[in-house]
Amino acid sequence: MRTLIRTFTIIAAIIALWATGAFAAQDFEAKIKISGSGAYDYCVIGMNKNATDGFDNAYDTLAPGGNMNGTYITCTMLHPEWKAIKNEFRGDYRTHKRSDTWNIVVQTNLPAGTVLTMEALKKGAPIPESVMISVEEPATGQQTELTSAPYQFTVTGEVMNFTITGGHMKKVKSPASGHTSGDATQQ
Amino acid sequence: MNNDRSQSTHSHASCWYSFALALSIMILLLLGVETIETAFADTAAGNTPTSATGQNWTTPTGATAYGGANAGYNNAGMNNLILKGFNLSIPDSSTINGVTAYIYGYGTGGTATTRRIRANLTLNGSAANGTWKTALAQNTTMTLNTVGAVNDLWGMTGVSGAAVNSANFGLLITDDNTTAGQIYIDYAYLSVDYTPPVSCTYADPTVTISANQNANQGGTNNYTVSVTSNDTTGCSNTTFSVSKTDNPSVPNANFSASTLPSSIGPIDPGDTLTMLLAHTVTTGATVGATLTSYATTASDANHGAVNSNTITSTVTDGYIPSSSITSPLNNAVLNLASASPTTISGTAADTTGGSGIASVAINVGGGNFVAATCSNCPTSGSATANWSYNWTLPAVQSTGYNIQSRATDVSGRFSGGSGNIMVTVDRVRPGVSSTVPTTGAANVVVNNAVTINWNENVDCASVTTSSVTILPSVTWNKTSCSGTQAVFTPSGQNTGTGYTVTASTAVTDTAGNAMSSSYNWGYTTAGGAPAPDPPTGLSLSNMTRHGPQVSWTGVSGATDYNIYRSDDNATWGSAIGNVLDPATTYTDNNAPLSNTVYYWTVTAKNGGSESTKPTAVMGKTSLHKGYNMISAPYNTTSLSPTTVFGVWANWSWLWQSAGNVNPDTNGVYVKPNTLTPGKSVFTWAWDEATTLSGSGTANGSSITVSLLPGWNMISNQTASNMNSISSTWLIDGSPIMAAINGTAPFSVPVIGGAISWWDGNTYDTGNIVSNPPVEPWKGYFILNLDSVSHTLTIQ
Repeated sequence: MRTLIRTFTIIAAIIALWATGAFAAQDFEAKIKISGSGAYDYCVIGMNKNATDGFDNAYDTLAPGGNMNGTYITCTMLHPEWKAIKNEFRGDYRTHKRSDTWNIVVQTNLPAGTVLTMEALKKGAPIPESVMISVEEPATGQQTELTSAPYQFTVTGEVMNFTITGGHMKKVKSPASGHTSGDATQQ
Repeated sequence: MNNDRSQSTHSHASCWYSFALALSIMILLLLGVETIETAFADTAAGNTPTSATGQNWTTPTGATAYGGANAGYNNAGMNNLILKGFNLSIPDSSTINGVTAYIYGYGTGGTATTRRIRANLTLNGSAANGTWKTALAQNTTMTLNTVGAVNDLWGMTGVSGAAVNSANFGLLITDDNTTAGQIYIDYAYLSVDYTPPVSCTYADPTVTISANQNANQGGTNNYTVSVTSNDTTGCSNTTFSVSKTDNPSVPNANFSASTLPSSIGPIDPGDTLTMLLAHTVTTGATVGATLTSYATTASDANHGAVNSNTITSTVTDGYIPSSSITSPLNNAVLNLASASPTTISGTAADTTGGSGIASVAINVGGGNFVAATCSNCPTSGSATANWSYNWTLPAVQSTGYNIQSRATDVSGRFSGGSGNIMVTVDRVRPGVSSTVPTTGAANVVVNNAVTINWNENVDCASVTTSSVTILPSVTWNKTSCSGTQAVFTPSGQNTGTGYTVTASTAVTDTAGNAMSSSYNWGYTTAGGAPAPDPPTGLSLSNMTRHGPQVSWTGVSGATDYNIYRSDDNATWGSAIGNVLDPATTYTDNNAPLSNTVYYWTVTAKNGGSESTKPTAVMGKTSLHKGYNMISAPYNTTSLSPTTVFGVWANWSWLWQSAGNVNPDTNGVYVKPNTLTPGKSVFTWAWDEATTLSGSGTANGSSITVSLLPGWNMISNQTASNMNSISSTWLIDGSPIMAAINGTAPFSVPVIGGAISWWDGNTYDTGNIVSNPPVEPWKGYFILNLDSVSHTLTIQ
């Protein structure tokens, strides 16, 4: 009888996860690297169980300003609402959720028309397979998945804005069982 | 008759007279419409009408003065008492607006409604000319009766001042035929309201023309000629004849005939009318030519001739020059084979009649126009100018540039970028960015497709089975090519066999730039012999950033070798290179970061079989060409940067914070005389040939430095990586995470949660909580968020 009850409880929990669109939380972090003509920079986005959506001094990182190179590309995320000592952040970690968006600002002094590449790279640990990171093409609104392939765009001005979406949005197949793994988003 | 009010007596009559006069003046002032004067006939002050007669009236002259006998009438008829000869002196041509009669009298007998006095006016001294007016007479009580008004002409029209000035102008008084009793008149007087005549005075008009103007060739100047009549309002309107005087006379080569109407009017006195004077410039007019003009109103019977002011029309250049770019051609592609500087050249010309080309400027890819060299400027008229500009081509990858030229003529007019072409500059060679199978891949399915990805679009015509080959030779077909990717399919491959694919320098990008060197990599098909032993004798040499060379001792039975690189000696990805036996060296020209420790190892392969990885060799890459953030892991106290690092480090800089209001700007870089253990500096390296090394007196495993408010440059003072800084570093003697999180003993966060190292392109930033490795020989920024200094213990 106890076994039956336990089994029922587990099934109910699984059903509840599916019904509510819940997902299994897992930390992740990724470098959003922008490069071209020998210059590059990156922003760091991520989710961490100890982070909040507001300013976390331990996770949301500031970097020194100023470019030490003649040719530069910079990636920043603006958070004046955090009222920190600077508005421009290099790293922005959020609390666990299915997905979230990050607005990044790319600045460069490369001439208009120069082809730049945007990639999602691991920062420390590899990016979990369940994580999808995509960038919205500003002109068309089309999403390009950075975790699958780099995204190329041309310089249109000194300042360009992009919206990055990231989170546990992929189903991951277990090689052994073929079932959805515990890290995956339940859809 | 004296009209002076001061001669009025202090009687009822004078009171009424004063009141009527004041009322009239007030009305005049309030209305302000016309001039009305009051003439006054008053019998009360002895200004007796010269005539006072009346048939059947008793004592008619009694009505000429106040008091005394009254003129009386008691008769069944309606005979008039005629009072005339008031001796008014109103200007003859005045317009009479109204006459008011004041009759002081009473009646007897009859009733209140039948006891009435009638009055009328006479112009000839006898006949009634107006409409009879009636006033009720009080029974036996002397009462002042008023008939008429200031605007009441008693039914008459066109009465002039002369008419009322006449001795025959008078007042007729009689009783009403129905009056049963008598009427008695003590006295009567008149008030005459009139508009005096308006005079006319002629004056010469005022004639003006609006200000000077310039006109482009072929353009027109329109001037406004204003004529104002200065006659007084009593004058009638006037139409003036108008003429103009042009100097030089037109038409001529520069100006067409000017136009001005021959007259203007009618203009009422005081009014102004305007007319248009037009000067039209001929299309071939000489720039700077002038035409002066003035207008004249002709004299007439009342006015003299009047000249206006003189205005000047000046001819300006009306032609915008044009330019064109003849080289390079529109949509040209400039690659590494193109000369740099490359010559941008073209022509420019002004329109016929223009002033000629003075200069030409060009704009490449936006921004400001810069001067081009014109070989024959200034030109004259429409002659062609030849110009050129040397453009140093930028080292960019497939970038479009809009090139515009702009010609400026001698008069300063210029086109808005009339030459306009687009060129593409691509002076970056393509390179292979990835392949499938990857370098050194083993157990690849026989005859699997081979995919090559370049870092930019390639010219697929250059991607052939000749430019991309495979060894040992098998049947080899190009399956597809598009954009940055090409796919080849081999057939006839053997199992357990190593194959090397080579993309040669015959492959070009879409701009025609060839790969800088051949790219080859190997992979092994599935199946085959057992794995050979791992290589031995691994060593490193030439530790420049782009050229560390790994060497090893060859292994018997190996067909090829895979080379691997790791940044932590623990995580190894795919092979970074593959060479065929008997080669025993490999140059790693893609180490990611400068002044950074990496690990390399090599495996031996035999077909699809691969040996285990032997113990890796460690090496550090050279400095980045440019600024480097460095330190030395030994006691550098009192030692200068050049003593520690060499003379090239003369250009060393230390960030000296002055506060944290804005941590990026509130501070300066200073040139330190000596180094400080636990601190770091920026140093400029002129090339990538320098690898930091050296030794000295070791620092202690723990060192404490002061952190000023704002950014601080720190370093690992030991010779080993620090990998647990979140738990080992201290702020003011307390764990650094407490200072970052603002927990006891700290009440707020006082230290930024990250450290940053300049990697040559950007600040490589790591969260302290994640324990980023802090390497010796490098320098890091850490942020003091507080307004006071804190200490950092590095250990």
